[in-house]
Amino acid sequence: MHEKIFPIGPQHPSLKEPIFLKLHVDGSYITKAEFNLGYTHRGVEKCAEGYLLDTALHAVQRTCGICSQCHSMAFLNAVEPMTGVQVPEKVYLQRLITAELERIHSHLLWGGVMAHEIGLETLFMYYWREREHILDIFDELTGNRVHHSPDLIGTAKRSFNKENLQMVLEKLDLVEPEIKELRNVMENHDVITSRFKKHGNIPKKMAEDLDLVGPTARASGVNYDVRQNAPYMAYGIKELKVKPVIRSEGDSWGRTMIRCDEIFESMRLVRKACEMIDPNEEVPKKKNLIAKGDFSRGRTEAPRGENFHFVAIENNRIKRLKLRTPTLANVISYARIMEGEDITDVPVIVMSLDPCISCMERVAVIRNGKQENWTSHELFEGKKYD
Amino acid sequence: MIEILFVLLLVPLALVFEGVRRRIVARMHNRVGPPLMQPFYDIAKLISKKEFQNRNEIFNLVPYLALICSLLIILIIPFSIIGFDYDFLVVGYIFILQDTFYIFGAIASRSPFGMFASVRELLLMLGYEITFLIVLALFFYGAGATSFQNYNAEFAFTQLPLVSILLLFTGFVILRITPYDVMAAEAEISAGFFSEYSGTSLAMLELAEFIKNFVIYILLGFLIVGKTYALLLSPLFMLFYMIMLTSSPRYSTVVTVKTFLFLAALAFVDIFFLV
Repeated sequence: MHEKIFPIGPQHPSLKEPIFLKLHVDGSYITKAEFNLGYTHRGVEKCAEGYLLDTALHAVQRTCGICSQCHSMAFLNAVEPMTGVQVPEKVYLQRLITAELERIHSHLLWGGVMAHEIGLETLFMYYWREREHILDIFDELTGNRVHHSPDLIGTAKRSFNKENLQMVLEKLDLVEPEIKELRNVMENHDVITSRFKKHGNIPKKMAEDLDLVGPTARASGVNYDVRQNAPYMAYGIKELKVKPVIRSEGDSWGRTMIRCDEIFESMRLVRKACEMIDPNEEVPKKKNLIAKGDFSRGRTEAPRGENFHFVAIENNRIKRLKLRTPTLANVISYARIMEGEDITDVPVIVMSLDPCISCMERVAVIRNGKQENWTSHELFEGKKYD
Repeated sequence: MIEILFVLLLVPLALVFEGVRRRIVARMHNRVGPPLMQPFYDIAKLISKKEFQNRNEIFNLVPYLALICSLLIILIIPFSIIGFDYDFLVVGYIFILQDTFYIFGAIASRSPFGMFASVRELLLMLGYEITFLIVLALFFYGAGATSFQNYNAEFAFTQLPLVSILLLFTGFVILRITPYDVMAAEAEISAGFFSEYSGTSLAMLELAEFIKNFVIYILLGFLIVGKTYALLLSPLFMLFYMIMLTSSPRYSTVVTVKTFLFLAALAFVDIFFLV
């Protein structure tokens, strides 16, 4: 049979951000899939280089519009131990509340986009209506709806008071039954299940081999969650231990249901943290801190999986910052899971991994039409810059 | 001549109908929706836009041919201006012809999205066009009529329940309503046939679609509830399809094609029972 190439991207209605999926198709079945990145490189790492830690935090918090708190927490995980600052428990709890609300927000946003991909605009609108309430909470807690950036090194910009926490609990009570209903639709609608089940299979072995992270890996039966395996900040507290949702299907359906269920786990954590927090306590004032040591690393569980930050410091300024977002770990599997699928199922499979492309893009060196490979040492020392 | 002018007034009516449809869908989505006159603004804006040139002749001709098909149908369906014996078969053929023009245009555009839409449409045609023609013929046979002018059956669905259901099913494909709208799936083939069109050409295609959809709703009313209530009850059929549109996602291509092949078989079986 004559093979054709079916391009998805860089601009395509089923993609919210530019990525190029080059699908070799035989009829409407995919025989081979390739993908290409590098259409939306923003240079966040370079942005932060040479700046003081406080200033670099601004750049880091703006890496992603959806999981900005998780990036900021990963950076603080790396930096705070170096400065030796004592962080009060209230600050940790505040960060946990923002991070978990962010997870709810991210999964609701994803649910809407997924509904759009299968042609169910109503569910899309309903998911995003609930998401609006979560954004209202961010507005109330941090003053910003999207890039909320409530953190400073060792402390927070503002302290959550009684009214704030009351509002969080009220809003959660408001959205929970609605979200349950939406989950019900996702679970029981025959057409939806026919589109999701047994498409985009990732067996457990493949998930482990490719080092997939987050809900994508957990849907294939990999019991890995940074919040559980390496608890950080308030996740170390006994009452706030995370019970990750694990499923064994490994298909689009499993990944969908994991995200639907994680919302409720996050709600439990937020409610518990709201109970534990002391509304009258004030957060400490911002101090000028000196970082000791050369480099450090931090990781967090973002809505899409494990966030990894590597920070190297020289004279209290950032020398090199490396961010590995979860999408980079997950997106590798596209080439494998697309094979043998129908073109109809491609948008569902693409969205079931929840790609967040522009946070993931890192530098690619192409000189005279040839791609160059740099070792981490060369990159770290900047030897090849000229 | 006056009658033709009167019928041409149906064109703005079709656009208003489309505006109402959008508002209804918006309310079902829990949003405000565009103004009622939005389809007029859309067409006016598209006509004022510069068009992407340098395509082949078939590609440029298709939008006008599609519009002519739609205009021909409104001459026959609600008021039977150019009615003649066995015009219902001609109506069926014009619908097929219009879809064939879309396929020509999409293939001439050389866009992979258009190609895939064409393949899907051709696969579906095996099922739904045959069903559509058989159903049309059975309605007229049941009423003992030979043309739209002397079709006098009232509430035909009481005598022909299965045929009515088959007609409603074919409506999904002709109107591009989920769950059976794979040939216009935005998510994977970016609107299919129309993805390479722009400017005036796209305006003509949109106009053709608006008129066709309006006529289909009237046709459903005409055949299922009868001539007297056709115009009055066509919004009800629109409401039915909009409820389906807003409550169901899209089936995959394989399921859609299988469904319509099954429906075609059912239509054939129906012939033996009724004739």
